[in-house]
Amino acid sequence: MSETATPIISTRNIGKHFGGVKALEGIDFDLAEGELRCLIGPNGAGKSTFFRCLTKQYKPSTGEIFFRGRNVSRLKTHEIARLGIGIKTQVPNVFDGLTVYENLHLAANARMYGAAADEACDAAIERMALQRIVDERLDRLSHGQRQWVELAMIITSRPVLILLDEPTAGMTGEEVAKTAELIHEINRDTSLIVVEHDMNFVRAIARKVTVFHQGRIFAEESAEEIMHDPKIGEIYLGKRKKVQ
Amino acid sequence: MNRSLTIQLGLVAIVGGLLVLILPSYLGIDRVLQLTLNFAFSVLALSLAFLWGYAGVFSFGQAAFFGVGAYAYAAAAINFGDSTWAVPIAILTPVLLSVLLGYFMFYARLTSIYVAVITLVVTLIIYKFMGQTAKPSYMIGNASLGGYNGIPAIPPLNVPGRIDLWAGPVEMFRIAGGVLLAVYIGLRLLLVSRLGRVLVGMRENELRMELMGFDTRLLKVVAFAISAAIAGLGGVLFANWNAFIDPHVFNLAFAAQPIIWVIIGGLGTLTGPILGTVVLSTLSLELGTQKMLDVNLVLGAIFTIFVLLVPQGIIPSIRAFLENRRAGAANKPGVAHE
Repeated sequence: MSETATPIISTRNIGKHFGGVKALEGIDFDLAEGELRCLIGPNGAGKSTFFRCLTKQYKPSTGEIFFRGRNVSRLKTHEIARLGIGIKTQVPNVFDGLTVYENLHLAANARMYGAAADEACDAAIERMALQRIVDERLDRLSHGQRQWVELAMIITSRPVLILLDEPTAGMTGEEVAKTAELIHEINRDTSLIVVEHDMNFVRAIARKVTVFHQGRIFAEESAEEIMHDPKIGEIYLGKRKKVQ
Repeated sequence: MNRSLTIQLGLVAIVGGLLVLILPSYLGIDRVLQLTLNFAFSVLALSLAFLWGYAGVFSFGQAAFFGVGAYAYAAAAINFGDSTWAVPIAILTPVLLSVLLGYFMFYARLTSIYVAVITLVVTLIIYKFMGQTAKPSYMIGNASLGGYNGIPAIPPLNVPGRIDLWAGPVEMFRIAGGVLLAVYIGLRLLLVSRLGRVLVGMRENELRMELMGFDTRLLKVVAFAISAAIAGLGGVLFANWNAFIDPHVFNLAFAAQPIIWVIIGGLGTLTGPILGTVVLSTLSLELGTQKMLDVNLVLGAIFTIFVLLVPQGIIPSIRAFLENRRAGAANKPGVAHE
């Protein structure tokens, strides 16, 4: 997908304060159409809070959010979702009491009806190879399988921008490799922001990486530059060591 | 809709419809009246079973919608001298109340405990208010609200536009039974529709529904309004059964009843609450004829035992038992299974 001048999502001076604690401060962020960006940073750096502000699960204390140039700062969570922004949360956020198919169907129903919803579900099942567990209830699946179902739900609703918060957490090496492949495939027609700790995974999927530190953007560089930046190694690992 | 559900609901309609038509010929008038009351209460129980069991919204105020429906029917039927418009008015009045109340509660994002408290408080406020309407100035047209004395001599249901063709006890039994069947089948169909699936999704994970683009505030108001319409319909049947309505339908003891029926019958089912209503209402009536045991004491003991020993309720426990037996049989050595 070609990158255009107007970013798909931008933030200006986004901040989120919890009492006296500044979880986010002065975040200016731009993501081009079709771009795949990774966010990294130590725990508590503000990455997940940033996602929650983008999806309006948290109301930012300061700043504005723009979607394709339109100010969407006043929209509610469901209105943000209707713009075509999907999110996979850090802990799988699924319908535990329902089957895989019912989960996918609900996701499809957010955007389409009847046969179109059925087709979207079937396509996601095929794409994510979920055929064997399609009738299983989510509370009977492993953590990795639940992660995949959540990803499939997001794909089913056909978003234009996907936010993935630690998509490989709890996955086996094989599953991580498959997820990297899938993310590349999704990125053919969808913009993505991925929060991830696994630097090998980051290097495998992203060209550009944004580093969060203490609620601020610390650096925005290519994946290779990040890997060799001693300052980032220091803040990321909390000691004077290169990022491995 | 899948084939098995069509067959199931078809059977319910045919068998239930036949029973409702035939039974009055074999039952004494006392049983006919008792079952008519059970049907009215079952409709009330279904309103909560749907709202709490499927949409995940717990309300202590279903009795308020039931009572408002009954009062609205009484006032409209007395004024018009005809039930033709009284029935839709009796359904719409609690719906309007529920939309107003639901808007303030759900758009303010109140948590479920506050929703429960507010719905209870509103019910008790209506109880207090209706109790103080004994003065002649409390009139709705020609209908005097009557305070704790209530409204007597409520005109019965009649064939639309024909006040000479009104329902006696046997016809009321058939109407109430038919309404109960229609509400049950209607809810089953609603639950397999897109709206039904979305409501169940909201019960399961409200945040995920929001993140997928569903406005859960609006969905809750819609579910609340549907449940109020059903409860209001139950109120119409109750007002007709009794030809009388008083503020006791808004008191705490009555407001707690549908909750007990649903818990004992089984939350997350529709047949369970109907069963719970029929069993407990019949038991209350039978116990009321003796003087050795206090009715509320016995019902309280039954409720406590159920909550402690059968917390899932009757129908889900029977289902779980049958599933376990089936699974046990399938796992026996030598039994082929997939």
